[in-house]
Amino acid sequence: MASAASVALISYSDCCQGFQQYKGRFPIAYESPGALLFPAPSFLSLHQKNHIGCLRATRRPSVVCAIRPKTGTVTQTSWDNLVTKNESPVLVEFYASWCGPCQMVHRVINEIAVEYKGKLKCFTLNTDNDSAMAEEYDIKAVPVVLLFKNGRKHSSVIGTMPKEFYVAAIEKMLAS
Amino acid sequence: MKALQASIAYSFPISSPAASPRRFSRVIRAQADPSDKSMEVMRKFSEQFCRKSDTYFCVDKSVTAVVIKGLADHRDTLGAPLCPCRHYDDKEAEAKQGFWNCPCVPMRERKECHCMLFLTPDNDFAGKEQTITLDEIREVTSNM
Repeated sequence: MASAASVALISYSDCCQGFQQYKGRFPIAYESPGALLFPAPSFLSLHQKNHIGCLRATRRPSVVCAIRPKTGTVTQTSWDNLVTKNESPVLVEFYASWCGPCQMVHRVINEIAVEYKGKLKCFTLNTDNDSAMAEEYDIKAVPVVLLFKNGRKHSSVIGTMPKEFYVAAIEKMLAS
Repeated sequence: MKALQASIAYSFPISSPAASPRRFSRVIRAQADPSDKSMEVMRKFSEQFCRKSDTYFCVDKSVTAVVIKGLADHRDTLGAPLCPCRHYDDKEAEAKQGFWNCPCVPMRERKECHCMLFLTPDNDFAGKEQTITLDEIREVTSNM
């Protein structure tokens, strides 16, 4: 039990490193370890019921740590540290507040963040709040997923794609 | 000719007092949910356009609901249902220009809606429904 707890904690801080420095700004406390480990059975069914798109895209829902976000948030100010200077490969999901498909993609990226922990850092960027970054990377239609390796843009996936499509792009980048 | 000019001249003082309180309310509305009226207008429009264009809502109705809410929000804040699934340098200019006002030009010309509001039956994400109720929209967007 203790080992399971430590593994889960490490993986969380590992994939959401970006939160550490901004911890104070978020209203939800991310530190308490209890909530992360055992999602209640009722929560499981809720997750499956509400995420049809996710089920269709992946066929196999993975509920590992659904209470906390698995992706960090990146803004213009944290961009250099989290993306360009990051030694790990990075995935950034550009979204807009009222974009329905973005939420669908977000669920897929959440799954990917869990499955690729330690190999890939996943972040989201709200284009409504951060137009400077959106303009720099010429984001027009959202959602857009950009993949970075060694601080440079490697590839981009525009629009709503099935999970396999994102996984293929990530594998291609990791292998390059 | 004179009468015509007079009617044009009179239309200005009538319309301008109505425009200024609306501009005032924009600031408040941008933070909150879109107005019930805009929600109902955009919901009805979506249902009608779905039937008219032989397209269907997404199998995941939360996508549909969020987009309708986004259109209603833009209708309130910009005066036009600008597509909520794009990033714009200048939303106001874009809404005036009209290319991305729903139904956008790609949708009208080629049935392309990357917002996944209107999906052709052959699309993997297309559901079987062309209707959505206000309650459904509220339910699936309540935890946003």
